[in-house]
Amino acid sequence: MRSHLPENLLDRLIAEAEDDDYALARQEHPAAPNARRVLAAGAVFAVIGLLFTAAFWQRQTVQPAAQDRREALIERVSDYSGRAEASQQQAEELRASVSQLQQLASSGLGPGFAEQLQALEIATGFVALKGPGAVLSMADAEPPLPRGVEPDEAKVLDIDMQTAVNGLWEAGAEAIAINGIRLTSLTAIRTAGEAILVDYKPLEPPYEVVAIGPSDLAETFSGSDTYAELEQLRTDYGIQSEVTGEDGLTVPASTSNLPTRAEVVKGGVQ
Amino acid sequence: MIALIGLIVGIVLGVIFSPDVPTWMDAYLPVAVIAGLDAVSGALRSMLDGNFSDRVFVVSFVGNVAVASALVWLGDQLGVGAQMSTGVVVVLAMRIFANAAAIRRKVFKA
Repeated sequence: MRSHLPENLLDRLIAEAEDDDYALARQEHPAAPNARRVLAAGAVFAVIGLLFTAAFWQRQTVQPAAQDRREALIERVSDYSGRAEASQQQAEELRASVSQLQQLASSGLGPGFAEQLQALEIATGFVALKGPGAVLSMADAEPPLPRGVEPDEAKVLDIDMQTAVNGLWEAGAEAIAINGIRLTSLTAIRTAGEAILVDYKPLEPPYEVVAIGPSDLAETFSGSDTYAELEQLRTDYGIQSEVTGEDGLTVPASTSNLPTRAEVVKGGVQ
Repeated sequence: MIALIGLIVGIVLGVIFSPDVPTWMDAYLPVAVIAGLDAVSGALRSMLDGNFSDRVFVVSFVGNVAVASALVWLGDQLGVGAQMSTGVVVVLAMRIFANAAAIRRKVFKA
């Protein structure tokens, strides 16, 4: 045994690591090898060899398997998003033909019905519309940012978008689309991660809100409290917003699903 | 001799069966492998010293693997599994280094 062990923990660890078990055992009770123990030693060596190969195999096989799964997942995601896009396009086309067919059908259903149907279609976002109105563009702040503003704070948030849209409705807008996504009474504007979702589809900045309404919509909106709020956002955070009046604007039909479970209450009209 | 034969038999067995390591063993396998390396380097050193003892070899390997695995298991229960296996690997690696140094001194006389 060692007569002296260093005080320092590391030195001590190293000193103890150098202890030779075999030399110590030989000093205490030298033993002649016997057949059973030799076999045991051979078995332990075999176990060690097995361990090495097992660890090697595991490294070789498990890693690529995880990689495979990842790639398969990515493939499925892009596959499904492609399919979703195709379905949406199909829905749009079908909706357009339904609208046409309905118009055809309703022409034989008496006066007033066609107009009523059209008014409903306009109000529910079922058809694409065109007309005069205003375009509100909003964008994240660009450097240099105002003093004391973090880059994270200098972004257009879902709440800003909600405020702007509500302001436009208030100013008399009849139909609104954000970056080509039509707003309906069922369209949510919310945040997921870093992106603003409209109708569960992520938006790419900069944002363009197209609103069809009275031809003085831009002026009315510029004089509203909402616009004052947007200006406050510009001075405080550098978030850019600009509203211009335009003619001949178009908004697309909504691509979101119409309610399928809700039913009209019989006899409970208006 | 028996050592070499044993090692080869083990490796061949491993290649033939290419064992699927169950997931619960994930944390213990690397530690066991390092303990195995330590045992082999110790055995090699003692063979060169001429005092290899199969009893010491078997007992020290089994003991070390058991203690190392128990430590890692305990670390897992306490939420410090990763650090514990690092600690075990460091200590075993130090022993391997010491054995390698002894072998080097024997073989190259330097």
